[in-house]
Amino acid sequence: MSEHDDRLAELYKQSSQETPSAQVDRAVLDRARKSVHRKLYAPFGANWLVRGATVGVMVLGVLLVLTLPEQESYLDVPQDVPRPSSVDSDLKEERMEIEEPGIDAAPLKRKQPATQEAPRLDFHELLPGLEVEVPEEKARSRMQQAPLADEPASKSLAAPALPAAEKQAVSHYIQAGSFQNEQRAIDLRNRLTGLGYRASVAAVTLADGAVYYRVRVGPYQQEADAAAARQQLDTLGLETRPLPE
Amino acid sequence: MLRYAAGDLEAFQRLYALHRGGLYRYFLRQTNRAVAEELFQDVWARLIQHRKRYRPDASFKTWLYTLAHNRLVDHWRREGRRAIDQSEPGEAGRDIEFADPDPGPQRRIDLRDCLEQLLQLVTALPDLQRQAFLLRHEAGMTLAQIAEAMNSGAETAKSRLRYAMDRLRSAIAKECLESET
Repeated sequence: MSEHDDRLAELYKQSSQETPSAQVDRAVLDRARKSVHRKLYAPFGANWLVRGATVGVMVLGVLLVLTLPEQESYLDVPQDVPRPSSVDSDLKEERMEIEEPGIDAAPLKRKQPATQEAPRLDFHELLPGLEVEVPEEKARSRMQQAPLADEPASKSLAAPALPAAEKQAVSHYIQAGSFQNEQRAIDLRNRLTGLGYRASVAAVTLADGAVYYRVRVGPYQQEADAAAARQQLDTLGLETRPLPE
Repeated sequence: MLRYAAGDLEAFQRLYALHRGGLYRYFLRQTNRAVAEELFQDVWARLIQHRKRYRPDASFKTWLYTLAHNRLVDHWRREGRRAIDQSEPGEAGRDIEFADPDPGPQRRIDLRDCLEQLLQLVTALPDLQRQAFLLRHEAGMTLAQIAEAMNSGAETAKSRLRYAMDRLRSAIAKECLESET
């Protein structure tokens, strides 16, 4: 018997080789490092970090204030092309042209130098030696985001139909509990139904043959709704997890 | 551990390197990967938080796995189940036979099958037997240490471990127990 036990121990040693991921290692060691550092260097360490960050944020803020108004004023400068007076509709027009090149590309070509070249010159004058990519990209992303926010309908028209359909087809479930005792699963389901959730019990057989009764809540069409419901369930003291379906 | 409590980070790194694998697998055999990672980190976080409370009269290992045992029991409680203490073998419970009595000529059981089967059998042990088994074979604890970490008497720890071994031995394919496989 005992030699069999030795054999089992040996087999187990061979089979059991998993180790925590590098990510987990890093998290634990970081925590240990912080605990030691806090103790030794707290008088300066933490303060300097906070001060440094504050100064950084202030510098960034000043930069933004200096550069942004310039960008907007350039967008507003009327060009020689016939264009609507409102900036928004103007931007929208540009965006649609980007998506469908070939259709009336002329206004776009004439406007691009105005939005790109001008701020670059200006920015150089303001803050010589600084990197110019940031304000430029900002101007571009503003151009593209503005119409999206104002006109969601035009976005969905322009986007391919497939992703939207897929999004609708996915149902999100939450696992609110998993029990080996079916009655406990049913009890939890009843409790949840009583609270107004759509809950059901599903039996699953694991690889080792054990049967678990999972209580799941859903389906939710939107991931955000499922996440919100999950938070609510967590406040009830349940240990939930999302279930892919 | 005392050196870490006094602020020696390297001492912690050595302890961590020594125990990370065993502790992680201790959780992994009893939960799933996501939960194991969470509980594993929780235990180290608690250890870091309470490092000043470490008593040199307990072995570090016992202390670590006492935290682990408590955290696991706590997790089960929140999950709505209690640790199944099946002290007698043969009681109704998760009785699983993996061994195929007649593997057939085309499929001989090889070492890989044995290893896989054993892991599944360990996972399927009743909770407290499995804990005793893991404390012995992952943490390398003595019976006295197992008893302390599981907050039980020495006799209870001994019989849990024995029942665990009995179960594994009787459920695993016979070929696996022959040393030549």
